[in-house]
Amino acid sequence: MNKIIYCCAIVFGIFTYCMQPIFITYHQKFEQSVTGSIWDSSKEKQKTSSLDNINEYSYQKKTWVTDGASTHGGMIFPLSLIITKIGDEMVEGHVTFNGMAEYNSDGIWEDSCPEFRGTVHNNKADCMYIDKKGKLCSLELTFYDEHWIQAMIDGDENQSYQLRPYNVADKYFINEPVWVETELSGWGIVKLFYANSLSNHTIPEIMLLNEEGDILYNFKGGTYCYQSGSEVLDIIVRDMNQDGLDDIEIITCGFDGLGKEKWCDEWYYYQREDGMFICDETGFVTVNHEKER
Amino acid sequence: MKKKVIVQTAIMFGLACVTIVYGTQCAAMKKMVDKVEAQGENWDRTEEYRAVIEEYELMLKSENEGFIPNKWEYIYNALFYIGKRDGILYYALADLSGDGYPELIIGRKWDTKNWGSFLCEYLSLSYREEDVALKTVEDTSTVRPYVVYFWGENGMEFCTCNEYKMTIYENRVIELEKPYMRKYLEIQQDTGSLMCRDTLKTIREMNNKVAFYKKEKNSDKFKEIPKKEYIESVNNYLLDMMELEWIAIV
Repeated sequence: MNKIIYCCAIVFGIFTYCMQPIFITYHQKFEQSVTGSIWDSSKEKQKTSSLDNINEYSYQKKTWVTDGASTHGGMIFPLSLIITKIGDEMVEGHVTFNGMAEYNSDGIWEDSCPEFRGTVHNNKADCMYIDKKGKLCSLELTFYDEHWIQAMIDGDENQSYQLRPYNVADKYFINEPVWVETELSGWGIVKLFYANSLSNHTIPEIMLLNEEGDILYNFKGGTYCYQSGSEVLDIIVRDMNQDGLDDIEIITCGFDGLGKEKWCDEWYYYQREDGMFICDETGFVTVNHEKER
Repeated sequence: MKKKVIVQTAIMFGLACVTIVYGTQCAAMKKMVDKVEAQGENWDRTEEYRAVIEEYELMLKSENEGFIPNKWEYIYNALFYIGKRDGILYYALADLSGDGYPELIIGRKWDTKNWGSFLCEYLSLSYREEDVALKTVEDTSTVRPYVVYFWGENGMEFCTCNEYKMTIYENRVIELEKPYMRKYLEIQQDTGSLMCRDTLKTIREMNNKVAFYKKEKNSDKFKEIPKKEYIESVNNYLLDMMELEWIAIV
């Protein structure tokens, strides 16, 4: 009789011990459900996703900048990068520190923006690049979604940065922007955007954006840059050099106080096979309406 | 006899299980009830905000150069970088909703260079030109509010200035201001939710004419309004700035 009770007590003890974690989990879940807050929803963001179910254009062409860390009018970030190619388990791009990764209108990257390359596995990319001092460095990218990449330098958690796409909302404009939806060969449907920068020396800002306003390309006006005070008169999308890819012609004009154009510049951007645009300086034309009259 | 013992043991075992589950549930229920009661009566929100302030302290001491979202529960990412750069942040407690309980405000060091892109020297001429008729509010602040943590319908919520400049006026209105845009927010006394009372903007056309707009209620659309209405609407909100007692977080 005593033996049976003794055995039951042991079984009960073991059962209680084994069930403890389940009770604790249950308790915690119950607690969470009664003390929920906005912080719970932010934690859901931590879910990882695989590259398999995300369009490669979710990451490519965008300028990725450190989230929350802009200085000097949103032009300087601790880390910024552009992914030029992603797919087939590989990724390529350019990275820069304390600045912003940018395409040049002559198609050549600045020295401060070294190239990185690497392999992609699931939602992670292990990449290498050579820094200014010639040192080989590692760059680990974790792709969460089209709004979030986590970048880590040399496997050091202290050098880990959350990146987001640079967006047209990061910029200030003096006038109401114009958005035109257009279909560009090699790009698909994009928004062609233009407005004038917020400055006493305002210049036109002409960009390709995605649906969410992320900047995919910035037509910066070549070596000469746009004249201050000028604005966009027209933008024409057509295959100017007959290579099967749509090119962009931009006409900017200076206006007098009555809205009449005084002079106009024409800018020709030819699309390359990799989707980038080269500003053809030889095709640059200035028409001075004052002189013609 | 054996059968009786087994049945008794089974009953005891069952009762023990029920007691454990019920006890666990009761503990959670009690905590919840305590919390709800505390919220209604003598709940000290400063305790709730302490965790936020402590995390900012921890962040300033950490060696992280970049913001890691998974690591922080309360830290706002822009304040992470500002705090790292300045080495110091500030907090203040003030009743912004008027319900008798304080809200937590985290601020940063402030001088004119913090205006960033929209108060550069070359901008000062165009910016403000249309605002000359607005009330002038004395501003000698050396610390500026950046994030307001408040207790809303869904627990702790926050309102941040981001690219705006935040000013809190004596009428408890929170102003968010950036070039050509002004928003006026208020934490509602009864629900604790954040309500946008007005959004106003100006657009400078290339012919130097300035157009004035007001956001329509319950809509994303802006309606063009006369300059006089714009000035009156903004001036309604502009009282003296609320005096906040800032305490350093280092």
